[in-house]
Amino acid sequence: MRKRAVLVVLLLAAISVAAPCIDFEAGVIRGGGLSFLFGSYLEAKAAMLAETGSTSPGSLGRSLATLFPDWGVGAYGEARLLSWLSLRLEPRLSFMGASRLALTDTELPFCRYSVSFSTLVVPLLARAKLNLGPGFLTVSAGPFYGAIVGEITTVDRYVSTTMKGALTTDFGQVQFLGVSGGAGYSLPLGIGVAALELRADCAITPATGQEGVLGGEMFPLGIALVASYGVRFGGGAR
Amino acid sequence: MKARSLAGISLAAAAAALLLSCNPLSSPLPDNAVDVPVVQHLAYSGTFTYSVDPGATSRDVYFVFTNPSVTANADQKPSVEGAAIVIDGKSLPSPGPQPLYSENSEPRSLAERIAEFNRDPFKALGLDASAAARSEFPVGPGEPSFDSFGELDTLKDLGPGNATISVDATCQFVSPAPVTIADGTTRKLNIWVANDCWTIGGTKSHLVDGSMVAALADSFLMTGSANDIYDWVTAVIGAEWGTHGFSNLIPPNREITILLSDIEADNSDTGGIVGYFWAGNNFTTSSVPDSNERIMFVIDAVMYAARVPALGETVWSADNYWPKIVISTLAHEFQHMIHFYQKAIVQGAPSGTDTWINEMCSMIMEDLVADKLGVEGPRGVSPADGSAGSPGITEGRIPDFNSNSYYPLAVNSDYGLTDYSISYAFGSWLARNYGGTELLRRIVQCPETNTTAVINAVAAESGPQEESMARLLEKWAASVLLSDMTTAPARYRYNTRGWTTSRAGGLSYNLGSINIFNYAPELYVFTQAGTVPGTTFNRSSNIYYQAALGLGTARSWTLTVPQGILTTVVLK
Repeated sequence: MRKRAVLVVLLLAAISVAAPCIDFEAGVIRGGGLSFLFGSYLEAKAAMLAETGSTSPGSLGRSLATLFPDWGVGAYGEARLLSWLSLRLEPRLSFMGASRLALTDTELPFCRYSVSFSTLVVPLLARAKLNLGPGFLTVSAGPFYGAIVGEITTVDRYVSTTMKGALTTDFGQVQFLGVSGGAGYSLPLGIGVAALELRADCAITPATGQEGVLGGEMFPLGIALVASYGVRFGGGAR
Repeated sequence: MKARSLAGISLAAAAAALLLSCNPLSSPLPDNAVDVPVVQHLAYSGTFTYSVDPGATSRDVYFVFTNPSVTANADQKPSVEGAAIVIDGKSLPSPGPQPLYSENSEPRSLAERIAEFNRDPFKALGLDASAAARSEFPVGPGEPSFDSFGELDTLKDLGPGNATISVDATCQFVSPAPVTIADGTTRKLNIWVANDCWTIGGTKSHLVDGSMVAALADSFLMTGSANDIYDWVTAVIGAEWGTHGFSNLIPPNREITILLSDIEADNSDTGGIVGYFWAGNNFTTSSVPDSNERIMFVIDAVMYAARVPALGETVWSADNYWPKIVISTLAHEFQHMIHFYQKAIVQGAPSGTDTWINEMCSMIMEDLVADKLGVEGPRGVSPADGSAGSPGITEGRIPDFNSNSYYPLAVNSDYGLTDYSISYAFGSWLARNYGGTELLRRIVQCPETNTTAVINAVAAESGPQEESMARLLEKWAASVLLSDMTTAPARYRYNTRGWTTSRAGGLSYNLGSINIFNYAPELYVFTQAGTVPGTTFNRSSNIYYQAALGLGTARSWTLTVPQGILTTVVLK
């Protein structure tokens, strides 16, 4: 954890030192889309819903994954390394989660379940650009560090009853690593550059929580349409 | 520039549409949603707030905490020690180190001594039970006993203080002819009565006579099919003895002996050990000098012959209180007898069955045959009544479970009366939800001797659902709280308002419904205002906490749950 922080600081320092002599872009980013969770935490929940939805021995209910929003805001700093390649650090605060609609073994809905949380996602992206029309196509890919910030909230909504759990977590108690990537189109606009990208963040290590606080593994996945606007500094800005 | 603006607006609109297409957190259920009993097994631990908004219908809210550790090995200490469960500042018992089986090897009571021996006779005797110790030539059949009516002999009984005592006894019954059983072979029953318990010349407070012996014989083994304990029990879990490869075990001679004696010489008609099966009698005297070299039970003669005047029992009848207990005990002990042969000899289990599992099997068997025997059995409800009965039931095992709902399940040493009640409460739920007769057969007829036997038997019935002891403990606890409802989810049912039926060997078996809340005393639940017993949070146990009664408006609780402890929320 400490090693990771040192690496991030060194990287930022390198970018800032190089900023006067290379292209540097900084801006804000906002996105929205869908999020999903995978892993044993959700599988256990699905199994429990299947069992509590059983009205006769030998048959099980089931639960269907339903759409769950993913939205986030953040900022980025981007250093141009080559004419077509730049490196972007893009810390974002995202809201993610998953939900399921539980059905009895007679296919009647009885519970809507959701689990949600806010995460700090810090991707380090390599961005390739290709001129196209008035702007340019971009393709991004790179690793990210993620950590759940604040509470993990569960909601179980039945016909007449709603139950809500809010598990307090300390920052860094539930963290995960993953890969982020996407593609989009950027357009010079005003004093800066506006961009719209389809972006996916996919955890490759589980968010389990220290000391097994979650009681299972969660692999968050977010797919979002991301809009950004940034301003360029330094020599060579086009 | 205009084109750029249009493109920007279009993209923004697409993003907004994508967002709005998702269900926000609070979206309601579809119109055709149905109301069901609410059970939630929470996956997480730590400190969290939990709120319940009951909506238009007021609800009772329970939290159940499960310590899922079933450690039976000193190398695997319970992982949940120290920290307490706290609800709104109220501390419940803390998980702590528990006495483990391997740390308690000195059986203190006669019952414990028998259980310890039966758990693993080969180990107790220092004998080799491995496959290598078996001859490839099966031992048997053995010589008949040639028991005859009126014959005198001295049999060994287990007495107080871990002593073996000699009992002068007389053979008072021999099956008039070999009884043909379901597999086409025959069995013979011999009943011996200690002379000091016999109606002529006896000295005990209650004495056995010929009619009592005849009633016992008829209940255990009589001519005809599917009409006695032998038929009903063996149809479920198999034969009590047969060929084997061990020279130090007696050969099968197709006979079973019952000795009626005053167990522990206590002359008690108010309780104690009602009967026992001791596997030492299955060994030859060259290995076990105190062996009777018989496949046999011992039944307490004083209790069998006793009447309870307070219940209006002026004359002895097989329908009286104690005879019914004894008859049920015969089924219980017969399970132990068969369990030993099927598990240790046929399946070649490397160690003895955990005591709590073996006893649970015996009580499930009592439960399965209670209506056939015309006894209340461990359920404590009339055998003619498949419903859960009425409030105020004080008979059977459940009242003791209710008083001690936080006691551990997986107990292998110092196994006492309360442990029986916990084992029965769990076993009766298992049997009603996971196959009845088939569940019992699967547990007995497998080489596993610990929780794996139980989990495998459950998994074989439940199919694709992944099962574990932790999940079973959680579901059992929720089922206890839902037992006053007949609409509980399918695997959470103690109570169907009628019989739960299963089949074995072409026979049908009934298990009556159970409503834990019909028993007195009532289920022990922790509350915010109530006192907390000075106990640790035992491994393999549940703590029931009543968070609200008739909750009408939204309310939140702050809970701290140590890592490793499971939380279940039940609303009803």
